Amino acid sequence: MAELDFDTVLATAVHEVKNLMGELSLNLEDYHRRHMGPETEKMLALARVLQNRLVQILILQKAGHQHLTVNADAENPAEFLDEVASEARLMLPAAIAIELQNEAEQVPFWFIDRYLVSQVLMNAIHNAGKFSRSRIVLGCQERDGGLEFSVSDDGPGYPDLPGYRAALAVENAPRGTGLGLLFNERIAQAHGGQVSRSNADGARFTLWLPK
Amino acid sequence: MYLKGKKALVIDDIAGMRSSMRTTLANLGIEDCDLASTAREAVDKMKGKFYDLIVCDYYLGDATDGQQLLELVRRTKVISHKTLFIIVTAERTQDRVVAAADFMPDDYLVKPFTADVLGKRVMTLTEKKDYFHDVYTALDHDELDAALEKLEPLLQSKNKYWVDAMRMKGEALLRLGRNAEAEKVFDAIVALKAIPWAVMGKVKALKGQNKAEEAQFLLAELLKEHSEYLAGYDMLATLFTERGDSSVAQRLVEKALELAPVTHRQKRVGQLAFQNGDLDKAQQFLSEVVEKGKYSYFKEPEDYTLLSQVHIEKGDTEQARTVLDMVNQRFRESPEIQAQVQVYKAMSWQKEGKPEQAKALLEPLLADPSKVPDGAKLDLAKACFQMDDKEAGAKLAREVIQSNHDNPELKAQTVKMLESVGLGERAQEFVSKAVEEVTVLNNRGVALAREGKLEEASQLLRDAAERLPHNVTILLNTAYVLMMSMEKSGLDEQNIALVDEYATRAETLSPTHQGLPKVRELRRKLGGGDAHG
Repeated sequence: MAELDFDTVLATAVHEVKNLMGELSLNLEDYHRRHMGPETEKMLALARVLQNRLVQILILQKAGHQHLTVNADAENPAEFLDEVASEARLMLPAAIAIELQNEAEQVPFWFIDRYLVSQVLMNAIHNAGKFSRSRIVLGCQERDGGLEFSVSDDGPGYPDLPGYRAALAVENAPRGTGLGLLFNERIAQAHGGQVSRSNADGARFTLWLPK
Repeated sequence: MYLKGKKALVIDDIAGMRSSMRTTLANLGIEDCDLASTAREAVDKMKGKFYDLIVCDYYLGDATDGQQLLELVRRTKVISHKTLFIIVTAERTQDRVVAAADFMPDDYLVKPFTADVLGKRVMTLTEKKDYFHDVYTALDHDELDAALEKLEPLLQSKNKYWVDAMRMKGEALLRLGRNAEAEKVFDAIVALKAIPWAVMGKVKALKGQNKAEEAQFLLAELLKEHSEYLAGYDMLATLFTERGDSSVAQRLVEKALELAPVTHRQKRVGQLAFQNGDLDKAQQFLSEVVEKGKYSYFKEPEDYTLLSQVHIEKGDTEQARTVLDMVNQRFRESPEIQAQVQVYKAMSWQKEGKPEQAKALLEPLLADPSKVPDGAKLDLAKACFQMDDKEAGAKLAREVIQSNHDNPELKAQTVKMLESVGLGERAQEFVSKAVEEVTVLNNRGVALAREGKLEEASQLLRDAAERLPHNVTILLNTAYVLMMSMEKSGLDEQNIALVDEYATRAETLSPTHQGLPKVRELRRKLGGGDAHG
């Protein structure tokens, strides 16, 4: 018998689970259309987060073997933000609003890998959704010759950073594994950019991409 | 409901996916939505109706994929440039698909996506299609000069469509053979970011200016950064093949094949392996191609004839004839393919030591070789040499060369063939001389035309075109000079007919030849006759 390559086994398994998840989502979506309610919405949102996670595991797995290929093309920041927001909307509880703050309107295009960058922002938005009280702001601005995307929430902020507002802490909030952050750092790196976290009336995540 | 009134076609081999996509589109307001489960069905539907939007899954089963389908319908102009073509792929195999694309779809959507995301994408892309409406109209009519004219004002503002506009400009210039200008356009993009398609555009422009070395260097750099950019390997392989180094070419295509198993690349490896004398590998790859092609919409006679040649070379002559009989069954309608089959059958008998049978098959072909396509004509020449009819062989080989004097790959093949039948070092000389004759003739015609001696130029080129009825460059130059002459001294029905005949023949022989758009453009300006387009 051939030697068991656990890495390949794992990747194949994740792949399979991801496809099954996709099927489940489709069924859920269909069900949701007919029996719309907060419960089905919640399930659907969870299914989407799960799918994104699985996709990201696969990307990370591949990145572990060879360098991550960035397929950049010219994207209009405003259109891109708009699309990310509409996709993110589906992952968030109905009570949390998502607002766009595009301060890069004069930027006609930027060379980014739309798919990878949207995964990064989706992670950040999902994370913000767990702590936010009422709104998340998805922003974009020019900074230091690069383009900076930001995700800010009005929750307590990052507990390990100054400016944390313990009084606003959500009880029993789910703790992340750090996988999302690892993914985000990797994607930023592959673009030659960087991510940062800070507290400013809530948590603020940024992804800075060079020209 | 923002897509109300749009007509859509959904292509997917899985019934559940088709109906789910139709529901999604219905939720976006699209009521007029057709479904197709195979490439064949899709093409039929596209021929009968204009679609605003085509959503096509990458995997279509039957050894066909969405990329192949897109290439087919764009190349044969079954769909308008105004039609939105979206390919749906599973996760990040996307980058492989992207990389393989010479013909890019308007967008790739990675599964899973929601109705909202699809709707947003379609809206964004529709806005872009509207912005370039006039350019697309010109492109649909192959009016490249007009397309460039329409692009010019759009390029003045560096808005969100600027990069797209530059790309279209670069591609139009490449098609017109205005390579130096194209290089500048792609350079402007590369200066912002070395994205693969822009680098590739520059490579093509360099190749068109006979700067193969520079092109090769650029490609190697690109592949270092984008090791999965398959089109890069294909292009590099082509550069090596044209230099006559088909073993490096084979290694490159094999590398690309490892990254993405696509049929056309399997065939390329088979072809190159055959040229390199690696018969077992050639057989292995080509058998697989034929096997897959059995059920595919994209099967080609060449798959079979290549395989038969490998069998002949290996001495499996009976097997070769079995394969050739399959061609006869599957591609009955084409007399050219039938002729090709006869050539290879004759070679199989010759190899078997039965020259009488071979001769019987070859005689009718030698009496009228016009039906034999150039690729097979080379083999017909080879068969003649093998049967010791050196004179007929040399004549045919010269014909092939002179009909294709600007096709480096065919030239390299001819040299190889002549070497294989024992011409040795004289092979290269033979080919160079044959090429030189045509080049001199063609250049003289062009020079005379430039000097304004249009009558003289027309006469000279017309003679050349009569002698070399399959040389596309000569045909087009003749047509062009004839029209220049008529522009000056008035229309002449006979000459118009001749121009149309040459242009049509050139188009049939080489539908994507760089000289075609220019000739068509002038033809339209001239009017008279039944100018097409």
